[in-house]
Amino acid sequence: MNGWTGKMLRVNLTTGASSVESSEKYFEYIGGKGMANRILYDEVPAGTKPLDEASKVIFAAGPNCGGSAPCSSRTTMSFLSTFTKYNAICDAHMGGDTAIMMKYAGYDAIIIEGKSAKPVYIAIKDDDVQIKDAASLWGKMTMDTVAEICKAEGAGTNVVTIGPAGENLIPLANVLNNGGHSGGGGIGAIFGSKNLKALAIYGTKAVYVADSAKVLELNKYVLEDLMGSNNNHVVPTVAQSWSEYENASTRWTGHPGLTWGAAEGGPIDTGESPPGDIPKFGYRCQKAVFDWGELAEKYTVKMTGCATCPVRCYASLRVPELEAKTGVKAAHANTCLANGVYARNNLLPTFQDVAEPGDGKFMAGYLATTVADDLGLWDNYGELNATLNYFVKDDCALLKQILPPAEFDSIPWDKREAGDITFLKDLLEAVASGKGELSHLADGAYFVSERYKNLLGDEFLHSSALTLWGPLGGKRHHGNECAAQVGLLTNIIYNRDGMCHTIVNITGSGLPYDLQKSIIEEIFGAGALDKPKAYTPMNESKAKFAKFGVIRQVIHDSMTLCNWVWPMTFSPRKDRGYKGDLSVEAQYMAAITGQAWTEESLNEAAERVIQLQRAMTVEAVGSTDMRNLHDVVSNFIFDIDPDKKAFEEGTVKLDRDDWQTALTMFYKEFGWDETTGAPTRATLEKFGLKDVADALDAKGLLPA
Amino acid sequence: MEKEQELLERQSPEEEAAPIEEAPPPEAAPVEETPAQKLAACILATTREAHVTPLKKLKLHLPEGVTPEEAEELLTKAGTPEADPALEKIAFIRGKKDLYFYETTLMTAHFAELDSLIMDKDILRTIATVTRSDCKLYPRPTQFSKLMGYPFYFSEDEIEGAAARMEKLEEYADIGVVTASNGGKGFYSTQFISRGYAQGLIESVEVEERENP
Repeated sequence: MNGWTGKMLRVNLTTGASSVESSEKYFEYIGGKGMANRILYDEVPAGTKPLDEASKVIFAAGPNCGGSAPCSSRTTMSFLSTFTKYNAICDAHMGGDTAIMMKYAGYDAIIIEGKSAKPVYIAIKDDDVQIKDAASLWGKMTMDTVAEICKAEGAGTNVVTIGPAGENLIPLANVLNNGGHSGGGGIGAIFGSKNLKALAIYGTKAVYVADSAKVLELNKYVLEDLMGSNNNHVVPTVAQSWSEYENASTRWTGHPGLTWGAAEGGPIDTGESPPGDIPKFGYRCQKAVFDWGELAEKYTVKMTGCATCPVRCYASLRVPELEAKTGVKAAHANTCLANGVYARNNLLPTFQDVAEPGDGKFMAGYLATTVADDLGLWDNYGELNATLNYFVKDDCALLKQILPPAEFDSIPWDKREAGDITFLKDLLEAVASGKGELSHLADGAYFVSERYKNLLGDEFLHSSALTLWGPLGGKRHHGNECAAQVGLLTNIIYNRDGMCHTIVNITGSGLPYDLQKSIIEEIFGAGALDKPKAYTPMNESKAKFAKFGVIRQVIHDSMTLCNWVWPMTFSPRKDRGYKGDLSVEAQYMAAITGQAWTEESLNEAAERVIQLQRAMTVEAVGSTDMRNLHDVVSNFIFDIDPDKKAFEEGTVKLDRDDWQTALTMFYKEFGWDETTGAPTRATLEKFGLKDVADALDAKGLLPA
Repeated sequence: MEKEQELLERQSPEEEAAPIEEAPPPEAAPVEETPAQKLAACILATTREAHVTPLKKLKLHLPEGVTPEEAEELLTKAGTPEADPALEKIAFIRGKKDLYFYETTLMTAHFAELDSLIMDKDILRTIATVTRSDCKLYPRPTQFSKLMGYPFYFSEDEIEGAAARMEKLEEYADIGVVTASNGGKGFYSTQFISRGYAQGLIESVEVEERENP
């Protein structure tokens, strides 16, 4: 079999049994997210709560994973959200080596079900699957757990683990593999509820591809002609001699004079890295400086990342001065917003210096990120930090009302007063402990709002302090600030933060607006892409663009490709007119599987996945009225910048009536009922989901 | 296969065994590079180091056998139909203080312009040119932080001083400064964007993008 292994592993923690089953019936869902979602639909009854024994976690990779394509080793995990209203279906996505190890071990997916009576971990070495005692690991931090399990199972084992936060059933608990690659959505709490400390995988088998020459040809084409840097930013941050453009916002940060300052053997200059120069590809993204600022340069050991990824977006830092002063581990790597988030806002109003004057804020951020990752505590794209800040603002006015006096006094406020950065360590450890009222601030914004409704009213969930895309509790993530209605429409698809990077990869590419516009309008029609902060009312081109964003993300999470780099909408090459190639995913699918995949058939399969996800969400909501019960967005989106009107230059404010038009147009694109936003029987049947339509019908959940 | 057999048949065993004495190649007379070729090589070498070549500097360090007059005559024809073929990939920017040459397959006109502005040492013109370009193209204000980094390396004091001087000069009447809520500053040009729009955009690039990476 090519691409897919054709097998999936089932591990039942209640019985201790494991079995191998065929995965072929799920191929029409591509793999990864699609496969995992369908398994969840088939096996977890609607109404199940995430921490119930009947709840399951599915790890899945796509046919592309293991086939060598650039950026093809992200892992999708599907499960029920622990932290958003309705506890509906939710995915988490993780970098690292988990997916590729799972494929090498011979599995397209791993289904974890049941509940162990005592702490265990699952150890997989190809066909050998064992459930092992984890009593000695329970209570350990994530990085120590990885080290312990690797000692027991062998170096090179990929270890997906929870920390104390997951063990303590904190709804915002995550899993991390090999210490720095995290998957959120509350999956850590589900692991904890099953007494599952970790999943350890080591695989030695091959992933076969149908046309290896074509795969290599595609790899060369992508690397030389199409791929830029992280998020497929195709323009360098600063001017380079070969570049026509530069844009300070991009992640192509490498340039002459900027180094990996703590590299083994001495600093390495990232230099110029022109398109086509593959050996220099790995120097394009000096992510430490992008994430942390200039101070991070001298602590940068190297860029690291996932299997098969040339981009290397994980900045590996070593900060020995921090360890010497605070005891927090010196070496760590992570990516994205997790870096430094707890040093923003006002959790710590001032920062004591650590190694040099003015480094306190950087050190505080680095300390907090390292501690949070070690605890397995997820930030929900900054929501946990925002919530904590909401409660400590105005001299802890709200916090004093929810914490018993003894608990409030147990928090080392003197450290906060002094700007001692270990205050953040103490605070995060208390949050992850599961003890006391403070821990409930990591229940997720929706459940925080429900718990303290009398104090918070409706304001909390709708406020610009939280920036949720909606009161459901999902964080805005490349929403209205990213291509106006287009970005926000991609957010409402999910039961967590909007995880679609397709659109932001385009708007953030670094290319000038007119160039972006001409390429995007050629695909989606006039008016598809607005200027930044100069928005226009909704139109059909935008609806098509938004649908493309969602569908591509599903393709990537299903086949597997990294949506933090793909799709190749643009190219860094002037001789291509900066145009990318959106047919490459389908070309890979055909070359790898040997089947006749086209862009159209791949889009259709991905849309099947979204139709299923939407149907599952309708089931969880218990109503067809998605417009008013699920797709509601936060008030701040319409109320920010009070001195400006929607569609005025300089604001990302949207208009309430226009947003309803946007929903209607988006529903139409997906073939959903234009009034309610629920999938119709005709649409579900069009995508081969008659059984799903019948099940919805039986519950009265099909639109009239 | 047939062709291989045919070749084998044609080749007698004697021929096969006979050592082939390779005739020594005729001594090629060293070809003297033309002045244009020598100049092109100089400019190419500097371009590889990510810099334009100022004419005045080149004239002080001319390749052997090239006179200043020759150099000027050859180089100022670069980019025109009369250019020497050896200089067909050489172009130049007419700066305020000099002509700046570069090799076009390795360096873009955009970068050459930036480097020549820097070499002209006219900070006001550099800032105004970059700002107008950023506001027209992207559109976005030119952050002070951009001007403090590669390849400009202006100090904060120099930039603040330039901003103050530009305020008083008619030729820079379109250039203004906006400040984000984090204190980060940027230049904008009213030729291309309004102050209100610039204010919104500086908040995006300085603050909001960091909150939504």
